[in-house]
Amino acid sequence: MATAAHEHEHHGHIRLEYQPALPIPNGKVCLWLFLSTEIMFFAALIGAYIVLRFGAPAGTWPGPHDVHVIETVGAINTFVLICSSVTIVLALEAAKQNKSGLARMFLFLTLALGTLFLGIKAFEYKSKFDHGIYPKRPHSLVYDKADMYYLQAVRQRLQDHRASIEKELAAKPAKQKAEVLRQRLDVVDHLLTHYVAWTERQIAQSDDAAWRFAQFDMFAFYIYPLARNAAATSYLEEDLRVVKEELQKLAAPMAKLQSEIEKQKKEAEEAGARVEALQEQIEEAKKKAGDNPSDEQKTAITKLEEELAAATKQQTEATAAMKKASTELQGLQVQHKAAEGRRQLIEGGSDSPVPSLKSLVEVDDSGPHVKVHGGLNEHFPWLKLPIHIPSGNMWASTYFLLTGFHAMHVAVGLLVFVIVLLTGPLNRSRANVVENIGLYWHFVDLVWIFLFPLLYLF
Amino acid sequence: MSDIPLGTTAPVAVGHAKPSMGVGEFLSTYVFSRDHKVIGIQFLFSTLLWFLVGGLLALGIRWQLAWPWSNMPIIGRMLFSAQGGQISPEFYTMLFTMHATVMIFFVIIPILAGAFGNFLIPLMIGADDMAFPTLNMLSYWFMWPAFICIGLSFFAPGNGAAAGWTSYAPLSAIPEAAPSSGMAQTLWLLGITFVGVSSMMGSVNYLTTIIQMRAPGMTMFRLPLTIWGMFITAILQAFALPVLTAAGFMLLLDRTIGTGFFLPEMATANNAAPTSGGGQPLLWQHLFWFYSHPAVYIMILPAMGMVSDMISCFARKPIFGYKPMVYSMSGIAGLGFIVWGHHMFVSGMNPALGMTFMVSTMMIALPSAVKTFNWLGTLWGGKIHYTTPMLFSIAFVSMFVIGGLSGIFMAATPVDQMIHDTYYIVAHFHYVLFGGTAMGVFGAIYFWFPKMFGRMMNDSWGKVHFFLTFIFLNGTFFTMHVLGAVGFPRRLADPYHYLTFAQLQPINQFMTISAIGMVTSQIIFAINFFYSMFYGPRVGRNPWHANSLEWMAPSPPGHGNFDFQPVVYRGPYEYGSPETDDDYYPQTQPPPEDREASSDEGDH
Amino acid sequence: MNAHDVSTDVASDAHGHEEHGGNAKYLAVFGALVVLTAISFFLANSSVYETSPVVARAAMLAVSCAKALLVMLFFMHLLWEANWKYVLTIPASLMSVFLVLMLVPDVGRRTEKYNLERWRHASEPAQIQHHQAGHGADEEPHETPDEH
Repeated sequence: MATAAHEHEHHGHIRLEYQPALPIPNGKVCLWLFLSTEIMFFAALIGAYIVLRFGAPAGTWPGPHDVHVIETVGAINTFVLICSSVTIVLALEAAKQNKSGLARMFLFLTLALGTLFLGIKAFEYKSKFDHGIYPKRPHSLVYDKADMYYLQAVRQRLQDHRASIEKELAAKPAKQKAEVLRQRLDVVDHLLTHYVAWTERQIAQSDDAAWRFAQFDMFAFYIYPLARNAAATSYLEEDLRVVKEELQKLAAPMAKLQSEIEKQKKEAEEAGARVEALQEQIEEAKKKAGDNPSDEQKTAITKLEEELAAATKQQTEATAAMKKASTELQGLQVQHKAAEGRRQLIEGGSDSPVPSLKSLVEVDDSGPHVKVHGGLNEHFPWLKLPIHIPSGNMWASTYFLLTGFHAMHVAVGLLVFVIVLLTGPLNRSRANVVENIGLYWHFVDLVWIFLFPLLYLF
Repeated sequence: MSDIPLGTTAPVAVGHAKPSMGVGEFLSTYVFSRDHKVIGIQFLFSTLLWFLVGGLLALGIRWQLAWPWSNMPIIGRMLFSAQGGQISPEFYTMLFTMHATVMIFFVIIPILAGAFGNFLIPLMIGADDMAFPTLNMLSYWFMWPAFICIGLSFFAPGNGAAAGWTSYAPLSAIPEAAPSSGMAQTLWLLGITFVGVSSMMGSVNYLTTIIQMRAPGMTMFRLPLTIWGMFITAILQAFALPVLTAAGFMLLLDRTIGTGFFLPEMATANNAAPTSGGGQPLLWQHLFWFYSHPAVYIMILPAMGMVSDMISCFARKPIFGYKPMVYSMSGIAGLGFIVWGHHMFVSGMNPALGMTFMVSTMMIALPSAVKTFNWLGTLWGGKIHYTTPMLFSIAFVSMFVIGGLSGIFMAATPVDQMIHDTYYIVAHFHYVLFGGTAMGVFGAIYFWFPKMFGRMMNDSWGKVHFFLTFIFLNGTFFTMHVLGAVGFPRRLADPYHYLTFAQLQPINQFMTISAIGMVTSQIIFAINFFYSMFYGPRVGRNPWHANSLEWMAPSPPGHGNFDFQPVVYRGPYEYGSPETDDDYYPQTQPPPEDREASSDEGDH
Repeated sequence: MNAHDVSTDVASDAHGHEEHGGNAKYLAVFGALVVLTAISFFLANSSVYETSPVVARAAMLAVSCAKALLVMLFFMHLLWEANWKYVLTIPASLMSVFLVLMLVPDVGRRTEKYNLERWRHASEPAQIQHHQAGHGADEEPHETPDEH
């Protein structure tokens, strides 16, 4: 144990001697202590994620593909971070051997790799944001449950679209833009009638609970399809069958009404013609008879008048019957039009501005995972309808929390790298600086090593 | 050790006493100083100022409980002119929330770790400064954003956060839930986060300093118990605080960008849009108490250490059972990490957890009892000097016993279910935090004041301050046990609304009068403090004839602390040692056989 | 232990482990890390994950722990550090695990305590959606787990 006091002055006071417990520099002690506080910080974040994720209602946590998480991109990012860990440890070795240039090169490489990591991360974030997956007050596009609230949110969104498009149209935009806007208005109206209102009516009218839930699932599926809800395609078939049945059911009475209308029309026309003829005859007879008609003439006129009355009555009756039938037909036609619109929405058709639902979503169950893509939101990126992802909000909360805090740590690391690179050569005297930033960087890598399987693969 | 003047009254000017100084030099010496002593004193002044704020908030609470809905004297007309001087229930909620927040985060924790930790650690271990002086300075200046946030919170809608100092979700998580759940709550959270960053920087610095910068010969088991208290506190802060920081960020995100960590599905309040949810409010409670239970030990362990030093010094006896003291402090800290659930017995927590937490909580009584008996053992047969710091230290021990015992009651789940959220709990933590920590802190201020400013505080007025504080403190807080036992609820603006409690109003009036007396008697302390700073009698290096290293340095110590190389030969509690003629035996005094050699060597 | 003011000393001088590095060793560790990452990547896309996800997840976590250990031992030089490494890392790790374990009953298993009202708004389990569309109303497919 050293007892000799140092006599030389140090910042105006004597330089004291210490008895350090650990054979490492103070900076490294402090950094390791800081890292253990960081362990606890990420333990709280990752721990919260684990319990929230595995505690979510069983089977609801979104799979990677439900939320546009691509495992390969995650794996590439892991690789990038591992590379950066190697480069920084090589920078340390170079600095220890007093090879400042080499050390700077490796540190710069680490900086570049870290930046690449953040770039890939930004790209990943964008793919989530583009699909409306992000936490947002009071509510993001993600709904945990396809229910009445969800349906109302979709209706609200479409109505908002409608209002804003009409407002834009009222401002008399350029011709080309107006055309686009009108097309969009068509799509919005079509969806409001044949997608939202149809589903609402089905749900309101059906006393079959299973069918109601199937309608909800289907409704959500064709906006934003999830592989787990691929059964919705069979609900759509069922829906199509019901629609076609209804169309068929409507066909016979409509045809009957049509022919009835034809018949009555014909009758009314005939009666009309007769009325006209009789009126002429009566005129003629009256003219012939002059002011003093004979009894014979009188009788003839009376007879004609009686005939006219009968024909007029016949005409009125036929017209009334025709009107009644056509009113009935109109009612049926509304039903038919709704059903036909729905059919065209499902199967596609010339009158529909929206491609058929069937073609909108592709289900690929050839691989080990069922894969789906498409949906209204993807086909019309401007629509941005609310989407249904079970536990999707909690997924977004935890995903952005964990990756966000990790990315912030990466960014802080990069900032420190820049400062270290700018403040002089990395020779042996600064090897401890490289070692300390390296320890921090490895810790950031460690966190990612756990985040990668937890967020991408589980 | 002829070179160290002990107990002299001659002023020792070292270092920074220069006749004239420029603005830049003034800033770097007293404001943005990297010197641990200046930072410690900065912490001390800031926290004492907040102590005043916290005390006034407490008086507001007491006023409402004694004379509900009556005009508050002086400030009532000013603040509540619209309601004719009456406070609102929301304002009452704010009062107790901010009282606790200010007292815990801005007074007790920073005065112990920030003020005394900073001032004493390098001095007591024989270092010239902290390991990282700049980091140390930052840890003080990171308190200022916190001060500003909490200060601004008072002016945000709702006049300050009012979700309780525990800020339980969903009240704290839905900004529309209450008038004060908006901006005020956000500022509160930001403030707490800044305190967290400051404490984290402080704690890693303290740990590095204690581990790496002890004087030669100062082994871990020769450290004064104050340092052990600070060391263990720093460990607690380093490991527990990040969890609160993480939870605070999560709550902040819940409030601002709409995540749902602490919110159930479709939770709504005051026509706010329903939350997206999927989270669990209990998660906040778990994460919060994972920090905040260790935090209650952060709030007492340094005081325990300082009191041990004072008791040993003024009983002129070695501390009884030094190592058991260290082990029991470590035991308290270790157990402190696994007992947080006892704050949540009635939260709907899983009963299996409740059982676990109950057992571990009761186990804390063991190390606490070891400490208490060791203090008594130290006092036993001692040559007790009833100085002001000693009186405060003895008060600390006795008050801690009362607070500790009531703690064991509420550790039992079935009992806690009866007394949860009653004044019994309030009595318990005020006995521990005011009767315990604040008494220890007052004692420590009287004890180390000469080292800080080179002048003595007036001992007679100190005793007056002590007796008044002690009497009024018991008048205020002991009655709370009585109230709690009959179920008087905490956090209600007007409990007399319930007929059962109407008869308890006179007791509350008594408590309020005591509380007013308690706050008023601090004026004596303030006058004594500031008068002595400038006009108190000058002292030499070691006015108390104590052993530890800080008393070997000049008073006040100059930049660099020591004007000689301290070398430690023994523990800090060698009072009445047969090896020496004096009744104290400084740590740096060489043993008789090599006294000669060392005095040659240490002569500058 | 006579290193005064160690903070300015060079790291490698303060503890004489000049030889522990070796760039070949780092590259070997790098290779191991890449291989381990590939293993967990293929585990996630393999039939193991389909048939028994718990096993696959446990394996992936084990792989992650192995990777973490490699990084800590070699890149962070813990292999060559003195015993203080245990003092710092083990309590923090234990405390982290303890924290998570204590969260399991209240948060990890929170759905067990969901009331009907909360289930009404909560995400539903996927398996109950496997019902045939258009079935009779007597079959209530959306019953919540706390009902049985």
